[in-house]
Amino acid sequence: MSINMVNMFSSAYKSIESKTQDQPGSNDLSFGNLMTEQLNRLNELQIEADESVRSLALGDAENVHDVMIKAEEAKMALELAVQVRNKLVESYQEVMKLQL
Amino acid sequence: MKLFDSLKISGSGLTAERLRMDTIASNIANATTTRTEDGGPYRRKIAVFREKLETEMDKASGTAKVASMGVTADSIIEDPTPFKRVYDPSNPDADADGYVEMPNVNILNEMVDMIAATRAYEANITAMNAGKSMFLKALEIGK
Repeated sequence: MSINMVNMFSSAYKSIESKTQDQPGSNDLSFGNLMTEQLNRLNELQIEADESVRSLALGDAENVHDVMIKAEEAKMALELAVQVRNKLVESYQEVMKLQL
Repeated sequence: MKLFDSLKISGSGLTAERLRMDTIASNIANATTTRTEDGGPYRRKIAVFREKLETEMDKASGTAKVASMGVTADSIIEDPTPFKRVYDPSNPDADADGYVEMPNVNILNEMVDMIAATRAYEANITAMNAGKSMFLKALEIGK
């Protein structure tokens, strides 16, 4: 379920990014690209955690603590992404409040 | 040090302590084993650990930096102390004088090592939890 959420978020970003790509002067290091990369990395972490839990259920996993550590990494990365999103939304609202 | 390195270092400590626990369990289970693949009695096994170093390229200066990434198991060696000779003529492995060579495993030493390995495992988990709570506190900056 969390993987679907992240996939929706990342695909929404990709569609926004593709609309802004035809503007002249946009290079590969744009902020949208950075965000998409990091969201893909977060998705990978979640998938890794899911797979390691599955291997533990099948009896293939070597160590229980490795499974727990992967699950913790995925959870921490997700919380970091949520905080980053909060900060982005705050700064967006600050910018929108500017009287022009 | 990258983001989740402290988790990985504690994880390597947990793996090492589990390996030591496995060797201790093997020693305790084989404490009276007089027949092995090599023919003699069981020799006590000891797990030897080594510091795990990883070389990473420092992006700013371009040089290679060696960072400590926890612990790894170097090898499992056999204890060279001599076997115990026990007088037991009824044992099928007794030699001509009635002595049997028993494994050089001292159950009391193994129990103490087992407690030490358990506490070390818990200490590694405490360190990992501390690192994780530091990370989560850092997320509250600016709240």
